[in-house]
Amino acid sequence: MNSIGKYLNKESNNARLLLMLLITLAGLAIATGGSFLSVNQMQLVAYLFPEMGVMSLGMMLAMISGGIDLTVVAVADLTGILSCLLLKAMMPADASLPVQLCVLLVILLSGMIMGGICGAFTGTLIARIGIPAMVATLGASDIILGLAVGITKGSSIKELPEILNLAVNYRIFGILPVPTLLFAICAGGVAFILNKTAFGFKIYMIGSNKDASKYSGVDNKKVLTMTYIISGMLASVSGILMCGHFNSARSDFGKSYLTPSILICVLAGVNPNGGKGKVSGMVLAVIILQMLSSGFALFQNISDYYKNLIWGAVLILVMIINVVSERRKNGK
Amino acid sequence: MKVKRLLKRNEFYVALIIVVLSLLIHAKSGQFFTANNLVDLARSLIVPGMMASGLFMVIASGNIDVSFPYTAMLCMFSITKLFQIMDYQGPVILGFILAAVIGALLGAVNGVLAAWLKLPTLIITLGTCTIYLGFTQGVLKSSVISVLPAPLADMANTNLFSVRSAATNLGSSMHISIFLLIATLLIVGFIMRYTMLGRGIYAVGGDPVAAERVGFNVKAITVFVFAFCGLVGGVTGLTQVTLSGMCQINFFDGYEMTIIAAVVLGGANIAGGSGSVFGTFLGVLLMKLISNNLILLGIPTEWSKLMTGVLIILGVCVSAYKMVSAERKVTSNILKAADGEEAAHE
Repeated sequence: MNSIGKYLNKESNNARLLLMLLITLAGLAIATGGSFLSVNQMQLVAYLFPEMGVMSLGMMLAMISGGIDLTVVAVADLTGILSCLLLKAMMPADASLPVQLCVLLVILLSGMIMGGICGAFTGTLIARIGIPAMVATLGASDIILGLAVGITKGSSIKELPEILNLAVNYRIFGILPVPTLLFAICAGGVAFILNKTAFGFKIYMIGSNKDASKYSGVDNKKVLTMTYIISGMLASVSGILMCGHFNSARSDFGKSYLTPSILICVLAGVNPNGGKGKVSGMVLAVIILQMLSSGFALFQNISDYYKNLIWGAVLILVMIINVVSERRKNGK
Repeated sequence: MKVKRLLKRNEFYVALIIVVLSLLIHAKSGQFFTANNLVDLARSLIVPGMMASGLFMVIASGNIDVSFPYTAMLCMFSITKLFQIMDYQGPVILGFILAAVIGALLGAVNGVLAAWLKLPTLIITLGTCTIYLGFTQGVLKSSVISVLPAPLADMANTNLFSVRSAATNLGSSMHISIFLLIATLLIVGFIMRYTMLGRGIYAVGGDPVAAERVGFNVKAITVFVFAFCGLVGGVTGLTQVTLSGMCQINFFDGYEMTIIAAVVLGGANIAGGSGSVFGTFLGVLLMKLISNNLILLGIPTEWSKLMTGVLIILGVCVSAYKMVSAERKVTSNILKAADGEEAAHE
């Protein structure tokens, strides 16, 4: 019993999130008369949340390092477009299934490399030239999105080979959607980096005190650049997922994801000033948000416009709660 | 000595680029220095110029605001709707006062949150701007208002003078709201240059801790800059209505980026503590010059977003470089001083 208390104390943020998750679930179940709890609905949530979730993982890394990565949306859009173009060019007309899957894997890897290059560009601006992360990523996201708009001339890329859509919609053993598995791999990878590697520890160090980490021998520039490279790679995975979901690519698919992805991080207890944040919190936060989003979609009379209002209000509210509870804790 | 000081100023270089660019455009098209083109250019400066001068204050105080275009949008729709519902026929100035009040209140919300939570202002204003957007679209149910109420429509048709260029036979009119731009620039310039408040804004932007120790009320200053930016945003929203003769939800799409770019190009350090309203105005002029003449400069319109990004990055690279070299200077001076002390001890 004591150990449970200790655990709750240590993981108070996660406990709070878990409680929120249960309340959300119960609230939606009651509001929809139980239909929200159906297997189909749960699978829909599981299918949809990875797009936002993978992107937010990258955002989280940047935030832990004391910065922010506003390019995630742009990187997802650009790599989605480039990957789709590449997929159309590479896919042989009547390839067998294994060949098609191999091509898909190559596309995923090349997409991640492209995302990494975008991240390296942003990371260099921040770490080596010394531009504040916010402005650098704001400007870089215009450049990256500008490329995407320029390449597609604002129109969408359609008539993709079927395999992408099929693969993204496939359910392993009829239950587990592929995007969910991809999210699990990404989240596991990020958790491993943050908790088990020296590199992850350095990200936390830079986030909590840049100067201290510099004087204790951390190569801040290298670590920061790497952080943004990983963030770019994660964003590209989410971009490809989006293209698979919509079965096309467009330069404005990710547009609506920016505020939610920041909201997820803040909800997960990632400190926007850096140095704090856990993957477990992220997973809970992203599921809560997707449940709410899918839940709203069930009510016809709540228009998309109110969604904006609610996201913004929740973001501000959560920030207030986090700061107030943090101050109370420190005050004790 | 004077020339040397001039060469050090950022404004000088921006002005130089503007002159070269306008000569280039004139050489290519032969239509730049015509009366109607210049009037058109001045007209297109009104809205971004006002917004940029409001935002400049926020940036000088070391904060950032991305919500002002949405404040403008909200004020624009709520005032126009209010006038429609009331069938208001009185002087238009009431609308501007109301817009200023609503804008200032919305801005003050940002300011209070920023001063209280001490979190990155980008995230705070990103949150509030989605609220404002959701409110405008959801609660006010607004997308387009094509017929304006009488007072606004009257102002929309009030021009100072009209010009017609002989060569192209194209006419343009100077709109009355140019006075609003001039007034905003003068007020911001006056506050930043000649008042204690302006000193305080620069001080907070330079180093909030130091500013607090010196006795500036950092929280009050933070609330003020955001409220002022919101006020200017509100007035600008209504100005846009009278300029274009209608309300549209996408008037200010992407404005936050272009205006930030303009302020940064104008020499304001994004980390705060520097810049001038004159530089900001030049930054806006340069941005408009480029975006209005993209085609003349040989850049297809679909690449215009890329151009904004490149401009922002170039602008901040210069200011980041300046900052880093200034830091180096300080450290090397300290090191030199320490060496000197050691030598003295020996």
